[in-house]
Amino acid sequence: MTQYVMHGLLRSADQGRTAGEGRCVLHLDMDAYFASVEQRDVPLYRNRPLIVCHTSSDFCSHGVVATASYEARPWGIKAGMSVWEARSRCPNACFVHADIPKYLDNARRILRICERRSHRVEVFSIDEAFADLTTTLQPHPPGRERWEAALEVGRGLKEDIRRELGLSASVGIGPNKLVAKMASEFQKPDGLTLVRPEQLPDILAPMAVDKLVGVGRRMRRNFRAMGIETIGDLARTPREVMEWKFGVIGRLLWRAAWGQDDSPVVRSGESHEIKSFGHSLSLRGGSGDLGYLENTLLGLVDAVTRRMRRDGYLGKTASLRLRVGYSMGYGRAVTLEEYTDLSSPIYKAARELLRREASSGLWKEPVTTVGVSVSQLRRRGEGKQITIWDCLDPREEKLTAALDALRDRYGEGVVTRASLLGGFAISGMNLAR
Amino acid sequence: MVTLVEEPVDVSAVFRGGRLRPTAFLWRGRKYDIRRVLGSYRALKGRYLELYYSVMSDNPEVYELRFSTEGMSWSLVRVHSEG
Repeated sequence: MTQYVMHGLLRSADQGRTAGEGRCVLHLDMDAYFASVEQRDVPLYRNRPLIVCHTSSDFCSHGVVATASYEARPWGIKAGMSVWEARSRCPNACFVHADIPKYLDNARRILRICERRSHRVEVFSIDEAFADLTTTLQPHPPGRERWEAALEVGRGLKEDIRRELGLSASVGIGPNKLVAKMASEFQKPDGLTLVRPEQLPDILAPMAVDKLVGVGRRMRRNFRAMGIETIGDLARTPREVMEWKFGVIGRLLWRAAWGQDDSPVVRSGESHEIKSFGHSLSLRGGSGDLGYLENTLLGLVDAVTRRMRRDGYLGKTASLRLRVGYSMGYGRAVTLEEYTDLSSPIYKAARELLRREASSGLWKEPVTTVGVSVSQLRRRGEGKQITIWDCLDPREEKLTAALDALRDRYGEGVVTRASLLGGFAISGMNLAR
Repeated sequence: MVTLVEEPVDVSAVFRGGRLRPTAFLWRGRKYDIRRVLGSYRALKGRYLELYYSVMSDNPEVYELRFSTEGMSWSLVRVHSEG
């Protein structure tokens, strides 16, 4: 377990303002998950730099890095880097394709192991989960003994995952989700870190502000302009200033700087109502070819609408998200006249936005990411307003239903648009999960 | 190095304890006895279940076999080898 030195940067009188009395949350983060699964299954890859790629190339010659094994990290290889760059940095590494169904199956097994130790487990991503241990630890008296019991739970969880699946994980334990997640980052790989509420001010205060969940590059720039470099600086900034400057996000970040987070651990199946459906794709080297970008958009819209239909949602607002070069990212949105779950109205609207942006003269560099999302959702059961056009031409609806039936029966890749064949990498197989 | 194969293969397998376990396969006229099953997972392709196995024979290569309930067929999906 990581030991911390008391810095005393925030006064002990302030400690009452930190969150966490009563709750105990565990965050599980699998270590280099995709790469660890491959190294477990293929002994040839053990103790060697291994790079798992998202790529459509048989030889992993392009695409992006999904995960790099710990052996590859000294070369500076990280998720999101282009495969081309990873190859130039570490030519002796092994490159393999990401096998998402395999990782999903392992993730389900990990979830089952977590559920043995907590009645409330939230899947945060394919390789991360939160477990609320508050009820599990109720028989232990509050205070040190309860936290020690939480550590035992974390240790046992890691051991079970290692014994049953041959994988290692890092675990963070704290009084809420925010602190637990930060704690799991403190010691990786194979770490087990407990942060008790009374330790919070001393641990958080000296940390760089971008270690807080929700502080990205842009927010860090804003904070730097305000003289905020550490989480302690942020905590000492009056909350009213943060709210005035950044609104709701400002208040949430200020609370986070005090280690306060009331968000519950939401068990799978109890999740909040879905707000939007979206997909995005990073383009290798970028592209300024409008035809190619429109085709990419079409593939993304198909994947988004497939998921909407499967989950029974209709949407009314189509949003386009673009990243130009490697610094400028922005979005545009349009509201449709009718709720829909069909590709063509959403695609037409998003394509119109894309064409408008292409002719705006804003693009000084190639587009490196295209994304589309649909929001302002309504459950299908709440009804779709039938228009005169639906009565006149219901062909797309019928065709879509037939294609969905084919995909339900034979899998996502069984049928695709002719325009998406060939070099284009998106298939429902990858996206419409 | 990974070589994508995607070829049908003949497989001998046993059902034991509610599990399916391949024991040998025949690929391109050569028989490979399976010494170790390194990992397995299941995935749905449409309504059909597919079972994947990473296996080793007498050489260092790792072979990925797939059993598909669609047509009850086995395939060699890919081979991981040195190089």
